[in-house]
This record gives sequence, C-alpha cells and structure tokens, in this order.
Amino acid sequence: MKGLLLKDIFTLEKQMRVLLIVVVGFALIPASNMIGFTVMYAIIIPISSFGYDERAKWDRLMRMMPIPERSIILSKYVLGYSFVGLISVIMLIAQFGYHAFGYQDLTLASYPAFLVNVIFMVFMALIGYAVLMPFIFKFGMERGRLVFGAVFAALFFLTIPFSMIQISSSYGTFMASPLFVWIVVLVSAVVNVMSIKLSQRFYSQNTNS
Amino acid sequence: MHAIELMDVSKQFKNFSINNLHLTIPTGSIVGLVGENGAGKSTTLHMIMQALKKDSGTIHVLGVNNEADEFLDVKQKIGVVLDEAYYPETLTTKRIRIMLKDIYTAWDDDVFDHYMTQFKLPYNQVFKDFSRGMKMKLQLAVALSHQAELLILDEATSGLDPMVREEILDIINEFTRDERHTVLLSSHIVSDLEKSCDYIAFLHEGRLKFMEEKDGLLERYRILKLAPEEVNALTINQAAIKGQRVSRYAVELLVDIEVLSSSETVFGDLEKATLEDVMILMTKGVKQS
Repeated sequence: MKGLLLKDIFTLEKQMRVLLIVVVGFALIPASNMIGFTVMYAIIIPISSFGYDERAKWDRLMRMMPIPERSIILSKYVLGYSFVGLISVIMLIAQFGYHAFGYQDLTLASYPAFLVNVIFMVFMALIGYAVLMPFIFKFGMERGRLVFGAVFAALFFLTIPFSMIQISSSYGTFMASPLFVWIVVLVSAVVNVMSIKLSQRFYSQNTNS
Repeated sequence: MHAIELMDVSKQFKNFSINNLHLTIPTGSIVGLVGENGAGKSTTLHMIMQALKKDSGTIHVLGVNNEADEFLDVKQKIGVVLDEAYYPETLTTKRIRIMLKDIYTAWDDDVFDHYMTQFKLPYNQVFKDFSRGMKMKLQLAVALSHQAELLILDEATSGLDPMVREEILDIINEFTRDERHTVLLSSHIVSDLEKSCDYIAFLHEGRLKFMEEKDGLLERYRILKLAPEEVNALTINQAAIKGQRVSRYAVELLVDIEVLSSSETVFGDLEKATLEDVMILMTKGVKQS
C-alpha cells in the first residue's frame, strides 16, 4: 500500500502545493463556515488522483502487479484521511492563532467551541468522502464527479445552519458536548467501514468485465 | 513442468468469447501468441494475470492456481510489459523506481540501474515526455528488475522501430538463457515471433487453432500456387489443405505436407510457408471440396 500512496503523493505534488496556499488563506478568514469549506476542498485533491489514474489507464498496469485488491481500495481511503487530517491540523493551528491573537476573546472555555467545530467538519468531510468513493470505484471518475458535485453542494449547504447554531448557542449546548462529537465520530466510522466494503465489491466486480 | 497451464478456460463478452481454451506454456521456452485483432490474445494474458476473471476453467501459473491467495506471491515473479506503459504521466523514472521498490519484494536497484544505463533512459524526465520506444524499454527494465521467472509481453514490440524491436528481442532471448525462465509474448509482428519464439500458439476468434514448435510448423506447411482453373482438376487429399487465399489470377493453398504424403499425387515445387502465410491462409478458411 505504501507504494500506491507514494505514487499518488508524487502525482499530486503540484496540486498539494496549491492546496496548502489556499488552505492557509482560508484559515485566516474569520468565518466559522470557512472551516467546512476548506475541509471539503481538501477532499477534492485525493479524489482528483482517480482522474490521473484514469487518464494514464494506470488500473490496467496495477492489476498486473502483486497488489491485493484490499490495498488498492484502502490506499485511496488512507490518502483521503491523510489529506483531511493534514488540513484539519492546519485549520486547528490557524483557528488557535486566530483566537490567541485577539480577534476574539480567548478564554479557556472558547477552545471547545472551535475544536468541536473543526472536528465536526472533519468527520462530515470523511462521511462525504466515504459516500463518494464507492460511486467512483463503480462508475469511474467522470460519472463519479457528477455525484461528487451533488454531495459536495449538499454538504456545503449543511454546514451553513450548523455555523449559525455555533454563533447563536452557548458553549454548553449539545453541539459542543462530547456526546455530539462521539455521535459524529461513530456515524463517520460506520459509514466509512460500509463504504470500504462496498468499494471492494465494486472493484472486484469490475475485474469481471 | 509448465509455466502456464490453461484448462477449458472460457470467457463471454457481448460480442466476443473465449471458448474452452487449452494452452500450456512449457517452462524455459519463448512462446509467441499470435492472432488477428480481437482474437483474444490480450484477454487471455489478462485472465492469466487474474486482471480479468474467467467465467470457467482453471489457470495455473508457476504451479499455482491463479485464484488462490498464494497467486499474489507468484505475481512477484512475473514481469509484465503491456502494449502501453500506463504510468501516470507526471512521474519520473526515479519516482517510479521508489514506488515499485515497495511493491516488488525482490526489487533490485542495481539491475534496474543496469538496464537504465543500457537503454540510455533518463531518471529525472517526466514520463509524458518519453518516446514510445523509451516507454517500452522502461517497462522492460521494470519487468526484469524484480527477479522474474516469467515474462508476459502484450504487443510490446508494436509501433517500435526495427532497432528497438531488435534490442528488446535480444534481451528476451538473453532472459531465457536461464532454463527456469519463460516468456509468453503476444505480437502482431509475426517476423519478431519467427525470429525469437520456440513455440507458436495461434488464436482465432477466441479458439486455439494450434500450438506447435515453430521450426516444426514452418517445416510442415507449404504453399501450393495454382491458376483458378486448375483447382477443380486437383486430385489431392483434401485433409491436407489447411487454408486458402483466392485472387482473380491465382489460388494459394496452405498444404500440410505430413498429411499430403499419404496422397498419391506428387507435386513439384511447393513454396515454404512463412508464419504470416500460415496465419493469413488459415483465417481465410479451409477449402471446401
């Protein structure tokens, strides 16, 4: 799997540089729903790796190599998780700095608010990624992109009401509670496990045709 | 022992099928897989590598069923050169090497560097700027750098100039000096196969027409050229006629001289058939009596 990840990282190197600039730019904008937008943007990059693979017809060569199907599938998920993880860390650092340097009052009590906000967005992104992946493994990048557009738009609009709740609610609300975070984490885990199994099935079916 | 053994393999597509294919590739040999476009050569190679699942039958490669879990270990010992080099175009050779080092457990940097030097390939040039010849050479370098025992080449020499083809064929011949090494090579360029193969397997419309030793094959078939009006007067064992090509001024019959010897008719000069003659005349059809 390491070899496949290296291949994707080498292929996406230029896009990653652009992404980092964009993310740092977004991170400095003092609006809570930018976190959601940025994290969602982060998943575009790993998904675009499918486009590069399809253009090169890499799959034809990869299927000749001693790589288990499971590793082929998992490498794409791990790539997505790594990107989202990296962007989240940048966002957290930026948000911390944003609070620390006085744009808002920094109190110990304010940490959970932006922390929960980032965690929520990260796991929403992971859910979005997990929903998309089986479609891409089934239909390929071209048709999968259409689905991606729909899912991205839906998730983006979902972030708006949550950011309103964030502004209007106090720190003790359900949104900032550990229970809420655990529910999102749990849902994300379940969706991802199901997604991986489904992707494996679709990939295996493609070997038949 | 057989390096590859296909037993009763079938695969059905919408407009094409492979039917009950039996094919055995002896260890230590170079076997050429020939056939027209769409005969099933690439499909067969992909099924051997389990890149495409067959509908029925069994395939053993280096003694292991290709549906078994252990086949992944066998794949480590198979070098593959496809009709195109399907690496992402932004990769450089240097990075391809880093990536493959992790995929092939027996990867040998020294061997790879040796072929990079021999083929005069650059390390830092992106793949999209490679010529077709360079791409195929890189694939061959990769295929030979992980201690492969079996090489599978799918149209590896098509679209290449004669010099590069010669270079590639030389390397393939060199590879089979080790008697444990086997090559299965599909190509449209019949002259390449004639030059380097020990056996020829001929696929036509998803069926194996024959698999024979090349030398025996070329000894066995002859071309009998006749004027069209002479054909009806011909008294010849019909079973000896394996194919024909008819034009306005001449009829060419592909004749199996082993069968012909039982015929009472004695012919004068029969032209030696080339592999290309055998392929073309056999696919044109057998003469009806």
